[in-house]
Amino acid sequence: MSLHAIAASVREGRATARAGIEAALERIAAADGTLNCFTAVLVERALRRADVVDAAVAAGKDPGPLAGVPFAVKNLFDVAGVVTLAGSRILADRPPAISDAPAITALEQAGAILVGTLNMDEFAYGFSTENEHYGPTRNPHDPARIAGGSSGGSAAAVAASLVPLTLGSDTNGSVRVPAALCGVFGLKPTFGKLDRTGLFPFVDDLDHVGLFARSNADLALAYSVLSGEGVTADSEATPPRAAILGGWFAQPTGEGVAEAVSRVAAALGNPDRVELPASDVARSAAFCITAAQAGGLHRERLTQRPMDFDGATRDRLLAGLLLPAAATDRAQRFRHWYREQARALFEHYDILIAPATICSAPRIGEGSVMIGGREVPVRANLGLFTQPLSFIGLPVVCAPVAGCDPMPLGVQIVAAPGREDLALRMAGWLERCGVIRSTPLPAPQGEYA
Amino acid sequence: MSVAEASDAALVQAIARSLSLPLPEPTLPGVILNARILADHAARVLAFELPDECPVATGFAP
Repeated sequence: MSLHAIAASVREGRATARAGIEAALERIAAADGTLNCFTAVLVERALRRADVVDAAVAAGKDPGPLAGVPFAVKNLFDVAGVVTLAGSRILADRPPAISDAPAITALEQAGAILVGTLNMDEFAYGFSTENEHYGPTRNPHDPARIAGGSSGGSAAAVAASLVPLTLGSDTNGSVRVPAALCGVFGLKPTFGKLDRTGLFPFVDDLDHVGLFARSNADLALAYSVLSGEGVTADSEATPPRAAILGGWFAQPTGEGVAEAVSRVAAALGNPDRVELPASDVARSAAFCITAAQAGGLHRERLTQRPMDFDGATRDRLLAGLLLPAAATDRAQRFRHWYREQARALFEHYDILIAPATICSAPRIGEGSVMIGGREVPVRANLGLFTQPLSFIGLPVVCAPVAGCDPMPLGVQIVAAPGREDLALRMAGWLERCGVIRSTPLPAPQGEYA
Repeated sequence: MSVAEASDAALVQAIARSLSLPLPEPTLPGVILNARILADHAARVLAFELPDECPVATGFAP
């Protein structure tokens, strides 16, 4: 059921919010032992809030456009009374948050109901959600495979229909990678568009709030509430002007990736192929800024409790602390130049299309994949196509491409800064054509049934 | 450990000392590996020729 349909049934008194929340809690209890999406399920809070929504309806008041919609958040969002873990063991010793992050408040003021917090890579530094402390989040399409990361719990919870809406964050691809690997819709808005207050930071210059849903219309409705902008997923007869990103974004990829982009291109009448120059440098610059800023952020913890970090995270952060300032200064200057290259492309096109990942979801623990006959390390390369775009803060809808079997794949629908409306319109047009849609789950089987 | 690896280890440890950053022995191989990866990325960034007037874009929103 869509977010609009859930809210309509609650607002019109055809269903209660309490019944909807109880059903969501039952789904979570039944499936999360296998999937490991949730790190906390907030039963009392959710039922109390559902009763408030139902009381409002009974009193003839309108609880809002998301009335009774269950949602959950990556565990780097502050939730009153819950310790903000950010996927770490170190922060588990801190006191609980005293208030909700404003993004949570905005959704609840529209009638949505928070049911829990979600697993992630430690401190958001990863693309796989194989968390050493809290276990891996499993991909609902094949629980032997990763969900992607760092917002892996957020994507998997939506893919498995545990909740229809989740929040995550995206610094280098942490919404778009898991959205693609789990076959759901993800939106990373323009840098700075959504309030990051109450989120445990990763990289100040690159962090974005993002969201996940099972359809483009759901994504547009939730984004509309969060941003206060009246965007819709309504598509017009003709799509916005589009081009396909070549060059860096057309390098050899795993099975099905190029075909997925080709299907989208064909639906758009095979538009121009264009290049965003020096995207390899953009990715490297994003790497440098990420490592240096994140290393600086965690310096005290690295000094005092180095062995309480996930080993892979710790070693990346320590290496970041050793990076000379000349590299990060140059990376910031390059960012200005690269942004201007993107701006020039958007003078001719409304939308740029690119693949989301180099491959479908690898197996949990798999260190490398074969790409173009070459063995490449999987984790560092999952963000190959996402990092250059978040580096300059562009808004991106990551949409699942129809017909990718057996594992989902996604495309990035990229717009100019501030033009989330165009990215959502394009996604709506492609969804109406049947080219993109949430990937249906296979029937449960085997040991994970 | 090869000469190159020993040299990298010594360099990493020297920089860490200058930052008052303890590097427990078990972290050293992982830190060196990641430092090498970062060094490759930094070299790519530093080798890119930017126009002279290109400003820093710290904290920017497009």
